[in-house]
Amino acid sequence: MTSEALTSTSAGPAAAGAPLSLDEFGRHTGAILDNLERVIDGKTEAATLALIVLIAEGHLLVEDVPGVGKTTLAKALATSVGCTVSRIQFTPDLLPSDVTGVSIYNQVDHAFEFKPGAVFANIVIADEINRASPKTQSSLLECMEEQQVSVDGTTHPLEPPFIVVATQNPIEMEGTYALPEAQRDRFMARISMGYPDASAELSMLHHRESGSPMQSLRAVVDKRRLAELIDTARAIYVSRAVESYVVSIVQATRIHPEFRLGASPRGTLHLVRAAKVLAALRGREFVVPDDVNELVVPILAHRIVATRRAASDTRGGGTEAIAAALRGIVAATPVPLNRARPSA
Amino acid sequence: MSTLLRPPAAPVPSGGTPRDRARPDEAVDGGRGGRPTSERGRASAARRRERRGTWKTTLAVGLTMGFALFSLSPLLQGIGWWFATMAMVGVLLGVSALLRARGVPEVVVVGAAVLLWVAIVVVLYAPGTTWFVLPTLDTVADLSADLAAARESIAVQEVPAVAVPELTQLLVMSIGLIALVSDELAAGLRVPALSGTGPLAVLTIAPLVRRDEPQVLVYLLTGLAFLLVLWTGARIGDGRSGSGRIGAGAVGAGPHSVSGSRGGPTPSIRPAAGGRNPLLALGLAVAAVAAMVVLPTVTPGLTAADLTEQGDGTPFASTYATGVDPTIQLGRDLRRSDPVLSLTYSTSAEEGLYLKMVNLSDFSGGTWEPEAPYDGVEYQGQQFGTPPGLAADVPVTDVTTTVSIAGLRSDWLPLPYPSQRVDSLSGNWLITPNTFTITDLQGDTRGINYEATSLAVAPTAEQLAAAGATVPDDLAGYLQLPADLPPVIAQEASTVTAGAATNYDRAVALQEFFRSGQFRYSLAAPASNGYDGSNAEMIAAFLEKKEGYCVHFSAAMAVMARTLGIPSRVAVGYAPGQTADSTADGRPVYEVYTDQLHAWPELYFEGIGWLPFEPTPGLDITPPDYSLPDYAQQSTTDSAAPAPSSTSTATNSAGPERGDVGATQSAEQQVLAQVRGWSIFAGVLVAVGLIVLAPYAARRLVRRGRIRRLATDPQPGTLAWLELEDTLDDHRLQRSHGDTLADVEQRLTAENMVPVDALVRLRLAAEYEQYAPPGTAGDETRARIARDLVAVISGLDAQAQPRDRALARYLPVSLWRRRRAAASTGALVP
Repeated sequence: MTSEALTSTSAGPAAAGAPLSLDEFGRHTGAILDNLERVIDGKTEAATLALIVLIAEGHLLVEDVPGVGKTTLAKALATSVGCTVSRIQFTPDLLPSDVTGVSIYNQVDHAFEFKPGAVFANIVIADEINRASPKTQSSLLECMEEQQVSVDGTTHPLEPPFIVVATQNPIEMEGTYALPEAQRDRFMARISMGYPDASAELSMLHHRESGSPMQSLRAVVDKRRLAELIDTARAIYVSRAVESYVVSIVQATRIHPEFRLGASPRGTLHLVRAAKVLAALRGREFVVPDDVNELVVPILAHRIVATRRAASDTRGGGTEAIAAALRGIVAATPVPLNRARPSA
Repeated sequence: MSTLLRPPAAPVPSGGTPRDRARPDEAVDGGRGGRPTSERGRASAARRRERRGTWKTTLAVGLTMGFALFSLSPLLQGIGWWFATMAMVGVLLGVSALLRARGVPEVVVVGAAVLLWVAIVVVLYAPGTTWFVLPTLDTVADLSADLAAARESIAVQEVPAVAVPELTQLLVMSIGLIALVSDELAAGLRVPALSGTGPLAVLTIAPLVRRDEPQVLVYLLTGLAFLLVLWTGARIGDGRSGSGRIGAGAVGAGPHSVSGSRGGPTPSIRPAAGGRNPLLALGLAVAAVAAMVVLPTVTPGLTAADLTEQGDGTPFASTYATGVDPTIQLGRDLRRSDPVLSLTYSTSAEEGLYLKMVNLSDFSGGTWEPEAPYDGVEYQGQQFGTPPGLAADVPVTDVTTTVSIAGLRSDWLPLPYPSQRVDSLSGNWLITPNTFTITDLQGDTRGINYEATSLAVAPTAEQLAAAGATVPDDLAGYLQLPADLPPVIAQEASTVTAGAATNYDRAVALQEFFRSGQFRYSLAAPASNGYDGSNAEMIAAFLEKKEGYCVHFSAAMAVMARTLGIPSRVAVGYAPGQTADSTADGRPVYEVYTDQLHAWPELYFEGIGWLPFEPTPGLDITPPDYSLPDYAQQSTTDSAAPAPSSTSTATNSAGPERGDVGATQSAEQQVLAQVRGWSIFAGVLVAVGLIVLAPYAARRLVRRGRIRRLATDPQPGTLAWLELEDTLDDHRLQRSHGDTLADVEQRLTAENMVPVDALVRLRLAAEYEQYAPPGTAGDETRARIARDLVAVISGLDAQAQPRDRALARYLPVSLWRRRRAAASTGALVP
């Protein structure tokens, strides 16, 4: 796991091979999506969002009740792209070193040796992240942002692609430490799986008669291909008009009367990056406002803190209120359609 | 959010899944912070949503009333009355709008507004009459006294009248009510088309009272404001869920609006089927304006009595009914460019007859005012009785006259004096005993026929000389003069009659004075010099200028007679007219036209009664024989001439002056006048038509220009898309600011309204131009864009309901509205 892999993929588009054509991009991402759908029935949207976050190099927060397939989704994603996967079950007694790794004194070499923690993998599934103590949570969160681990003054870079899929259970809140707002901001998107509808649940039963489909899942792209996908998405064009559109939306969240805290500049970046991937998924080499406004709720909602009043008005601690207000912002933000002068 | 996040490589949205977003209702309630816990709270929130935008309609109603009210400015001096009235309108409408915005039930809104109206009226105009806060009978009495004063003020004053407090009060009360009703129709009951009747009623007052040039600008402004009412009225409730309108637009909503297209259930593109029909309303308004401009020029009439019919809608219209100095109206009718046949009659008398309609008897206030017809006795075919003052020995002969009225609209029946009986009259009529005039207070005499039996009084010279020496007490009213009568009138009268011995001689001398040649007949002079009318000052001015028409001559002679102690009054009616070619029962038929409206003085001589005189020179009327100086020298047995004689003939006298009587027009002139009237009518229709069609033509030009520019424009796709969106606006397919191109496309395709392939190509072309990297281009050719645009637009047109299509064509809102604003151009935050 090493510097070779690092240099081959991480240093931006220039270092990668030629970006894929959009047809190829579509073929590969389609294969991943097929894989995902094979294990979770009827959750195209959640699967697509997970894929978007993967390709946009973000982190994913899955918030939902137990048993709807949070972990399955994360594992299927990891399996499909042929990456290393590690899973951390967060508990109150989990220590930061369990996550990041620890330096141990090697009696033979008479030196400290770094034992990598669970975070050293391409896809890290952080189950029930809100059960761990804040200290442990923040050790993971540092890794997420910095893409590196610092232990005892030594910095250990993490190998890209690196994606954390954290799950959180919103109803069982006893003895948990909810993620603080500032830390939720580090996740690119929050999704909730939701219950499958009747037909999806039926077909799920049917599929599972012959054992878990997880077993038959094979990787459809390798790590190198994934890097190419990432580079392809990065090269998607975003016009000034669409950039302004994104900024208008984000700025509107900061002055909205129902919000105590609006979206951060990081939210702006994440929104644009995700929109690029969505445009690429749709076979378009440029972003249109539709790409942006469909992603506004999953990308921005978890960064926003509603006012006490708005939060108390609806169920789910204001989640619904925030989503509705965001949709209102989208509806009221004029979509750019400018008549440029020929000289410009 | 379910959505369009869908498997890869699908550049064309397949449309379909309705977005699973929260109902905006919840968000709206959330925004207010109060969870509507009760049914009532929910109902009020629903009403609030439903009434979104009603305040705009209310504002437009207020604007319309303001402009319409301004049309009264030629009738009233100053402008304070306008502000007072509009303050009332503003308060009433403001409170209504506020209550509606709060979601109060409509019944309560109306109730509160009416209560407010009552409260304001009582506090302002009848303070101190209440029992605690409740109005009492005193309040009603107080208010009706005020209104009676206003009515009297209208009757006394000449236009432009001074807006005395009572007049302003009348306006404040009536216009306030009209505004309330209009607002309720437009904003409450949602029939904005009907709400035009209120302002229209106000608009009709001015042209009917004062027939001069129409105030085109005021009409236009009122019309425009009314269009605004229609426009905003059609948009009430935008954004309510399930309205059936596309996107339930967040038009006008701020960035924080939580409603919006994304919230509604499955969007539908057809406008809601409602009962509104702006086009019908527009048609009505156009017809009404045209009628308003044209009617005064084509119907004859006496006095503002027309108002009882035309001023409907105003609760106090009847107070205008007898208002406005009839003599002013008379002058106006005389100046008409196109006289119209008022009536025809045939008579057993040898000559044509004066046909009297009404007497102006009361001069105590300084203005000749009608004798109140309200003391009248109901007429049921009985004999009128002996004329006042007529002694038994005066020779009389019976005369029968058959009258059929053509175009005259009046409260009063034209009758020869002194009539004894009127036959073949149906309906309710009142007879005024002193004057032998008949009225029905209905203001419409058109088309009725009747037969009047009257007396021809032929007093002998001796009887005349002996008459009038004394004045009975009950005639003292006919001698009343205002205290501030200009002294010049009395001086002039005594100078003129210096050599006369008897009252009769004095009367003859007065008539001679006016007919002697120093006075000139002129219809124009009084109006242009500012002494039109018959009040005391005007008479003094007339005696100085020595120019005027029958009103001035008769009023002046009557007043001068009173200064000499001779009871007098002014009669208003028709001069004898001229014989037509036809005959009835072997008797010649006389035709009387509007310009033969006439006024003449009647003087009273005890023993003979009221005798008409003819002081007006320059007309082709021969004065009655008895009023000529040499009558006294004639044989006393000469019983020939009936009272007034006329030598009018049919088709001559195209003199330089137009006369009250006999100044007939040649057939050609009449035809010309008719042609002129009709060309005015046609011109007005054409002008109104052009105004109506202007938006249509402008929109067509804009579209044609854009399609032509598609061939050269650097952004043909964007241009085509903007044209498409403008067309959607024209069709009232509402969108919100936040709709993307794909949203629009999806809704249009969901309804199968347009050719889908063409629409998708258009959308892609616009998207490429807008968002793709510079240098890349879609594969659309300009020609195909133009073809696709035309195909989509005609598809839209073909699918629309006929009514919506007409609306889109003739009221293209895209002309004055810019729906899609450019996004703010802030730099990307790092």
